[in-house]
Amino acid sequence: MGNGSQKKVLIVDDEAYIRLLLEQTLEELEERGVDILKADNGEDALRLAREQRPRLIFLDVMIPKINGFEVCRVIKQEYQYEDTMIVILTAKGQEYDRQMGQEAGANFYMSKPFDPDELLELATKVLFTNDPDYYPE
Amino acid sequence: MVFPRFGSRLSNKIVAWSFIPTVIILFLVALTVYVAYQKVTEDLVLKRDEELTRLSASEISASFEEYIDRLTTLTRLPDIYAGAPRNQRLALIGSKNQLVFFDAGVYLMNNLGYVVAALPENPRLLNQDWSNRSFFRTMVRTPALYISNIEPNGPNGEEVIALAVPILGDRGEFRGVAAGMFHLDVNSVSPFYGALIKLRIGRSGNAYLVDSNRRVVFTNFSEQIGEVFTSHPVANQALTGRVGVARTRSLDGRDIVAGYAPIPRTSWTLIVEENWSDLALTSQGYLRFLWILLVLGVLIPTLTMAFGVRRVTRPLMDFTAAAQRIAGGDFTHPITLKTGDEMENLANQFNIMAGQLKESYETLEMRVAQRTEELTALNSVAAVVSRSLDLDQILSDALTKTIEVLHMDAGAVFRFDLDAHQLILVDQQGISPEMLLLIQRLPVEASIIDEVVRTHRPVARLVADYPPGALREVMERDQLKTVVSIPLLNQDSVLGAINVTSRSLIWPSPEQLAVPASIGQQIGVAMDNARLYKQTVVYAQQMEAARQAAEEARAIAEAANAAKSDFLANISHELRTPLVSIFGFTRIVQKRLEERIFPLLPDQDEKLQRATALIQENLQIILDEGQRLMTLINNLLDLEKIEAGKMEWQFQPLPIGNVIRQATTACAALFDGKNLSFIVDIPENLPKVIGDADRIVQVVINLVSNAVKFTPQGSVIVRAQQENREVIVQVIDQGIGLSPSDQALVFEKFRQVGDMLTAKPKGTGLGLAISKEIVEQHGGRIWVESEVGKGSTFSFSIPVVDPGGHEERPKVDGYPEGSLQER
Repeated sequence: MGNGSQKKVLIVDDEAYIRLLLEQTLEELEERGVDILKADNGEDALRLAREQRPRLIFLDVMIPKINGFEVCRVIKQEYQYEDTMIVILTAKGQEYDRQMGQEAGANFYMSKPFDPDELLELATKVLFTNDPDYYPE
Repeated sequence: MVFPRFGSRLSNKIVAWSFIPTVIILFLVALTVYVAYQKVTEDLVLKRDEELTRLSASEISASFEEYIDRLTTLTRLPDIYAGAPRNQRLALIGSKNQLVFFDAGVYLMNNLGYVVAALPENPRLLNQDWSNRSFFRTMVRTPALYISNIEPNGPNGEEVIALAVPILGDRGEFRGVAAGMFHLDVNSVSPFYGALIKLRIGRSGNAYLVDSNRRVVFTNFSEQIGEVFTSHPVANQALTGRVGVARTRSLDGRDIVAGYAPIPRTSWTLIVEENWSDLALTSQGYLRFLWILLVLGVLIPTLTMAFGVRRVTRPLMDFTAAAQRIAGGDFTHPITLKTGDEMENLANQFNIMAGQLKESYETLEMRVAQRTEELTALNSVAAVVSRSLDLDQILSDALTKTIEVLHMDAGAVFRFDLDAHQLILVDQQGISPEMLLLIQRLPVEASIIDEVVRTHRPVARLVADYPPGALREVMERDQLKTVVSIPLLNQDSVLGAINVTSRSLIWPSPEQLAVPASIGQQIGVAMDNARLYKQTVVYAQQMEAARQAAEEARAIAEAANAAKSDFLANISHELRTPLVSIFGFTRIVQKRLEERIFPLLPDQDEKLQRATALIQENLQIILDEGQRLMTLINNLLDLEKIEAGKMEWQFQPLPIGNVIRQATTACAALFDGKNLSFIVDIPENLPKVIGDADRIVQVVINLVSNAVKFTPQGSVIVRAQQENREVIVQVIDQGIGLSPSDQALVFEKFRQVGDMLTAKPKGTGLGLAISKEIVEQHGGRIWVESEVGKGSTFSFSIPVVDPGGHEERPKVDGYPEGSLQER
């Protein structure tokens, strides 16, 4: 589980307000000791992912430098045998994007705008369920 | 070489037709003669052989005469025919020397058959009774000479041949028998055999002496003597007692002639056989002569005929050679024949014919050369005409060629100005300046062309025949004598003329005029082509300009369209991003107010209660309106994608019933807080269709949300059923309904029916347009039935793929759904 025993969530989005929105949505988790990391481009996202080994990544697709699918693919290749969960977040609700996400190795797909309750529930379950293979539907 | 072969073939035929029948006839005659000769020879040989056999038989019989004489002389002795037995014995012994050749002895019997005397003396025999012996028995009946067969008559019962004569008294009475006997032995000293041995006939012949019991008395092969003679091919014929002859095959296969004859005074038969080849030997020479004759009969005619045929066919071969030479174009070698017959006559005729051929051949060559020249002119004009669209150049070339072909001195080419009824000079060659002034623009009537225009044919005229006037005067001054005018024709109209003129009195033949006339027609066509080409060039320029304009317009339109698409894609993204924040933060605000702020407020404060209620309501309005904006943006983007053909369709076999049920579940939220009942009527056994599940869900949601929007109270029904090869989905409401004119417009973009000012119904006006596009993309139809104030029924159809395959209960689509459906 990465650096130390602390649970980490990485938020990747180029829009500051969206990052803020996600952070606030996950505020509850911070209170439970989860470390929230943020990146506004693909490079930083990859760097943070390598350094911090977050358990959960919310990944926007259209981000500067390296796009979200590519970030997802690299992470999934590097941490093939670890349990990093990646949620692709995008404004587009197209099947094509879902397929790309699936091929890149993403675990979940969420379209924006999202329901904060639902997002929080997903994160809580991923981070706090004992079963490492938990796979919420 | 060809000729000898032909000659030999001809002579072969002559030989074949005349000589071969002769040979066949000769051969047949020879064969017939040969066969007839063979036959005659055979007859002669057989006859001779028969005669020979008969003579031999007589000879053998005659050879017995001496023995008979001796015996007869003995019986004439008185002691023999009248003496006592003792005397008889003495007399017999006394005659011993005369009877010595009877090697088996001589015996006397009395009239009762008892032996009375024997030579050599043999007391044992005396008084033996021989009355049963054949010769005695025969003698008793007929007292005459008797020669026996081979019989056991010997003194000791051995087989002998007996020669017996009667002993007669003075008065001829029978007193007894005297019998002389011979042994059967070829080596015997008996002169009887010696006589027989002489009978050997020919080199290969055999002789058989056979008694009536068929026993061989004598033959050349001593071992056969005494044996039974039955197996010989002529045995049966020979022993009938007749004289005869037969040609037959011997037992060992030889071709033999067998003659046979009875021996007189005996019961014996003589059989003589000889090889045919030996007998026929004499005729061989004649046969050889016949063959030589036949060969000569074939050879002599062959040689004669071959020589004769050569003599007859040689002139023919010469003829053939001459004809070949002439066929090859060589007229210089006449045929010289001195046969003095019809051949020579024919050769002379042939030579005359060759001469005539030579003449006409030369004429023909001249004409061909002339014609070639004309055609070359025509071709060069045609080549220019087909190459060039420069009319003046064509006309100049045509003028030059026409002058050349007709051997003229000068000429001019005119274009016919139909409106002014004038001829306009285009080009000239060799025309004097004075005349040039006159013909720049020439009235048609003043010229020979007048006639050309009427007849459409080339016309020739003598200058002397021109009507008096300036033109004729100038021409006469220039010493021109003849004018020929060739029309330039295109179909039925005269477009101009080529006039050529000569200082000599040339009168062209119709054939000479044919080439210029043909040139005239080609020029006419070319003139028309040039005119059409000018028009075409102008049209083409206009067309190209129009095409370019259209191309530019299209490029601009395409660019504008692409720009619009890009713009829409970008703007929707840009619009959505802030909306995400608006949504999200509103929800967080809502949540925090509810969870953290409101519980802290004092319950009693009515004003504060109203204010919090208002805040909650306002926040909901922000969410609703945000949702509406989001839907608008999504719809806009979808429609744009569908129309630009960029929509990514996920077609696959779908259980349509499940898909629609799923859509109605998603619609349930639409009814929250509404006074509406939602009825779903979908049978279990709907078939599969090919479709994009998300899009079909989108259509159903669009229709249901529309129905909810326009129905203040009552119910909304979603119904699906199969009709023939389609599944029909209906969304039935009890809302405000549509007027017939609105029904026609309802599926168009940005059309909201009813009075826009009241702004009562909300919507983007894009939902139905998108639904129509989606349904049509599935090969189905969408339509509406409605009555104002009573409600509307929106229906769409999706074609069934497999009429037999009913839907299965479990959902096929296994992809994990995004938790939030944005539509």
